[in-house]
Amino acid sequence: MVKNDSDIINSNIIWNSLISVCEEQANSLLKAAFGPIVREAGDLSAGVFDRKYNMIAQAITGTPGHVNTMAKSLNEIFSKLDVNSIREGDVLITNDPWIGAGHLFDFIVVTPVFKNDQLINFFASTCHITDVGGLGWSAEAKSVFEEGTLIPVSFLRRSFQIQEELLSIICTNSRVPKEARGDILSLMSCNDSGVERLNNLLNKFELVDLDIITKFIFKQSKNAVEARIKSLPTGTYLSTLKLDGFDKPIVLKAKLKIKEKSISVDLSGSSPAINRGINCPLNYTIAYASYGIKAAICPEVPNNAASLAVIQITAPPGLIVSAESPSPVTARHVVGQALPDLVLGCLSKALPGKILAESAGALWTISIAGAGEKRFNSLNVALGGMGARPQSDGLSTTAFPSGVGAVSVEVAEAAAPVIYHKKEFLINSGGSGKFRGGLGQEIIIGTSTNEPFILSAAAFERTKQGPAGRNGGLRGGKGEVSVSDGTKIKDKGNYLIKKGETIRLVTPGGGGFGKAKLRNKKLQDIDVKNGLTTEH
Amino acid sequence: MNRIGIDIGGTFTDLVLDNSGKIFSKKYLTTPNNPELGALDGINKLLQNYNLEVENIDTIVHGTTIAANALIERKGAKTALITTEGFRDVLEMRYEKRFDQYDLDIELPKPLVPRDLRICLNERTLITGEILKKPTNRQLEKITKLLIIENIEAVAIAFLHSYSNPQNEQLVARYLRQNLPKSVTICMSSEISPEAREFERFSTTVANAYVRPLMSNYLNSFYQTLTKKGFKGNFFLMSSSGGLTSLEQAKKVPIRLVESGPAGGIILASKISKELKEESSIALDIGGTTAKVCYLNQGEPFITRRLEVAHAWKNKSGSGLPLRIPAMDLVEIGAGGGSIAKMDILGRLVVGPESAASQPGPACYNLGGEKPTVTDANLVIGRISEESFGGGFINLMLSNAKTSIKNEIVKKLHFKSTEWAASGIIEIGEELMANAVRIHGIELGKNIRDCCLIVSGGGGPIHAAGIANKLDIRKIIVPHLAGVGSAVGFLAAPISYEIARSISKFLLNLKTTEIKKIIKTIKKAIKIILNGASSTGREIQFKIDAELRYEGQGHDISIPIENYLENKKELSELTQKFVSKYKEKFGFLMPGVRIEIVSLIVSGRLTDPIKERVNPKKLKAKPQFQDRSQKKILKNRKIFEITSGKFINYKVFDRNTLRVGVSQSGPCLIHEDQTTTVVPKGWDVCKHIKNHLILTKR
Repeated sequence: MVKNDSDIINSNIIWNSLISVCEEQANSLLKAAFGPIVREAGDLSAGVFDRKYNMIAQAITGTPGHVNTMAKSLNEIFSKLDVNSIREGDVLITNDPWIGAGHLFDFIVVTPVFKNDQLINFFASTCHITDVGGLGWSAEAKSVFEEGTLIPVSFLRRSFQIQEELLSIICTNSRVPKEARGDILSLMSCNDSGVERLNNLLNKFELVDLDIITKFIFKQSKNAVEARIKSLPTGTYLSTLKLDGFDKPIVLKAKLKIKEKSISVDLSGSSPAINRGINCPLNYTIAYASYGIKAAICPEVPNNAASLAVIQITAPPGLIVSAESPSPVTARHVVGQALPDLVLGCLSKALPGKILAESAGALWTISIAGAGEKRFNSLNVALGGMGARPQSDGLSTTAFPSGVGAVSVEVAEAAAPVIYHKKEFLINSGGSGKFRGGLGQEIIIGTSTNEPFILSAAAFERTKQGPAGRNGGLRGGKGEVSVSDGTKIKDKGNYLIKKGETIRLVTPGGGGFGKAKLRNKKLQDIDVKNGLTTEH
Repeated sequence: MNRIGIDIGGTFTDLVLDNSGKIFSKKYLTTPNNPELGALDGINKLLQNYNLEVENIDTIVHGTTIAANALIERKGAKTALITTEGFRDVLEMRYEKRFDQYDLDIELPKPLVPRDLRICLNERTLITGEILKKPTNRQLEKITKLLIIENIEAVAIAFLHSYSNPQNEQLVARYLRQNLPKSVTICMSSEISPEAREFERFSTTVANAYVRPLMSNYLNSFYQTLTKKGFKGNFFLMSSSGGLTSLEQAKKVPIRLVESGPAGGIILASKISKELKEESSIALDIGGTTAKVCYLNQGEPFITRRLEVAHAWKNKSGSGLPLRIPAMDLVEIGAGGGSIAKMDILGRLVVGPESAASQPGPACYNLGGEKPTVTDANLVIGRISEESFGGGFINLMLSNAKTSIKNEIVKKLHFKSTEWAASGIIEIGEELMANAVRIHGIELGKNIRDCCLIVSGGGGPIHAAGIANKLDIRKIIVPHLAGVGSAVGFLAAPISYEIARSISKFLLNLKTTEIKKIIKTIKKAIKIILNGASSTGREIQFKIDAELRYEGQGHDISIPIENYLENKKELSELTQKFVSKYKEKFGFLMPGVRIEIVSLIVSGRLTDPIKERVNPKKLKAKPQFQDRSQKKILKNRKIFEITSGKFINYKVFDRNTLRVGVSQSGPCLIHEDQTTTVVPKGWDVCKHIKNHLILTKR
């Protein structure tokens, strides 16, 4: 353990260096990746693990859904595969939603690190692959079998030899085989660069492994989170959230217990899993629920096995937040990304006046596919407003809780024959309050092919009721989806849009914070002048 | 001949007079309200000192932070944005993501143009360049009225896909030019930054419009006052890319001057690395609050077109205004002499980014600062001493430094000794800087061990060897005059200009005549700009780079092209170069995926930089720094070393009296008024004939 003065210095330096090794790993992936959602919007994660599968450090980039699921993935992987069979030069891969990031699109790639013939660490990285076959981006599947190709835990590389057969299975089953290949090799390559940097680090400090520093990191992280929890009022706090669901409403329920040194959340009572693809596997649920708590109480503490272990999320199997195989899970983020609002609802009762209002929640994935002669796929996201904060307005059209931003219009129009006719703030969509919720936006999209196309409505959520305000603040505007010919979008299914027609999306606005009559007159006047609100 | 470099910074105005190779320099306080007055006053004083008149000056090179300050303080012109209908909020929506995943309180910068002045026009250009909708005169009439009523001083015109076809922007610009008062600035995105990605292009164009009235007034007034006083020489402006630009061009695209400050130090490094024929070098400037790193290849700094200025939240990357202008590719690290050390909530020892700056300053300045800084740590371990620092202008208090480190670091982190704790602060600080150098080097594909480290700034010479040891670097140069400030570097800069254009074509079915046409058009534009900058049409050296990528990939690889890509052979060579560079970078290839040219970058520079006419009036060289410290410099000093855990004896030499060509072995210190060069055990130091200190590792 850390004993003398030079140990204190070295342990600090090595910790920082480890984080920067992961940053570099993530950066390398960001540059090599093909899917616009990964490269433009940063939908990925990267991290280093100890030999007992505990995550030690991770890149600060990356979204909670990838980062926090990845933290638990190695345990699952090595419950399926004997770790003793791993050799130097091996690389493992899977897109099992119950092991990785909750749906088939996300692949996790794991690379062991050997030193002096001893397995000392692992690197892992995750990113979204544009297409894995099946129904593609759609919530219509009745089971995971229809959603695409599931690759169980397998060797992508064995003793430095790439397993072309496996790669070929993935690519053959993808509508964009070359990009899929490129993305998977990018994952492998970014782990390799992590391994190389780690070896340099070990050599520089003349270490045979990271065991001592790992203990130090875990101890400091655990202490820091526990110290924060100690300052919170112990007790049990309840919260409920209602979502549109696929075609009928679903309810999410949380019972959050603040104990002396830990926090637990029980999601019992939430709606059962359904036979459409908005179910959420427990690993993805845990990722987002714990993210919400961590961001509210200890944002500065880095994510690792020890800091994440202090927060426990549980749910009985078979609920929409703990769906089991073979439940369909493609649009699992519809439920998963609502969970921060749910747990923040509990925390707002423990810490009245200190927690932001509800936000738009789930990313609105815009998936458009050509249905005529010309085949194409266009994937983007539409962001809504963030909830108003206790001291400031909510951020307009900014992703929360996800970290994924929008692909720029010019890039989206370069990638596929789509035309954006409008993409602008929607006035009056932020919930009123002492602080206003962030604004949602209005987007109108058509194509330049003059052919019909298919729109997946899988992720258009909060169209029945906008995000709730806090402390007397009002709800943000609800979402809306329509087609120029009057076709009704009534559930999260796929819709065939006739040629020449356009679709119109309105994303939800964030909830307000505090009573509207307390709003600073100046802020109100600026909003009116800028045409963000029309009241008063 | 006489040349003057002027660097107007936030606090100081640096002036340098180069009299046929002899350098005289002075620092004055900046006069923030009329910065040109302070500078002119300074020039007069400097000239008087040496019996020179304004008409004796052949060239003035000027760098200024006025544009940057206007953006930071939001003091630019009242600007309107005319944009494509339906896309009013591009500037404010930004990337639609948070730059910090966990901080729920972050704020995004306010756009330079408020929403009520973002005016939409019913027009649309497609990615192919096809015009879907053309603006009508009726709409333009309405807009013009609005702009006049609102007393708009600057107008930015930015439409979707205008880099692909600028017709609609040009049409609007022509109309407004005819119908708005002449004093109103008009900028088009297709001219300021013809590259894809609307947010960055709009942001750059708006920033240019926003600072242009202010900058052109300032530059005009500066130049006219000089001319009235008899100035007949060349007047150049320092740009962010390290090249010089003419007054006319600077007034047109002043946003390109935004980061000229750090350029000076890097050009100095560039000049030295060319003189000493260093293949690869790293320019590292360590100041009070931050350190800046830039890589040089054969003396040429790496250039980027991605810049972010005026950060709105804790100086965090992602919280500023993005600019797509050519700029030196430098990385800034929140670590310098004034960086504060503390224990964070994880019980870690952290250094920076918070800085004690000059007010209240490090604890040892005795000006009220109580938090320990890197400077305090250097004092405690003996790298700087009470009597030698800052030429004796600042009286340092060792006891204050010790107390602050004891209270904040020793006690909280359970160190046993103050010296160890101080060493810890320095180690963490140097590791931060070394790490930034390492990461940037890897990104650029440099072999860091083979680079030579060229340092500047007050902290550079103190930390150079420590950082070099961490990076396995074996050669360090501490330049002559490094402490004088960036104005010296200005005088070594070439006259140059760069234009980048998005094109997005596949190599496979590339019409080569098309590329030739684009390159020729850009070359012509550059020729006009550069020849405007010099009196005659002199020879221009062009450099062309193509940015390529596999279709669908986000990261571009830049490949130099020799010619116009006129034939199959040139194309296949380009493909080969891309493929091998890609393999080197990512370790695999993508057979069957099409290769795309994303953009073309053409840069031109005058081969013979500044026209020099010989001025007969030679000055008598005076000793450069007359304000010598009254305090006596000791012959020996003890410095605590982390490797042995003991104080080690260092010999102290005066840089001025050190003999050229005679090598000294470390451990020793080379003292000068501005700073101290630390030469640890294992290193030798030798003074170069041009007064640079060259440190080599044994």
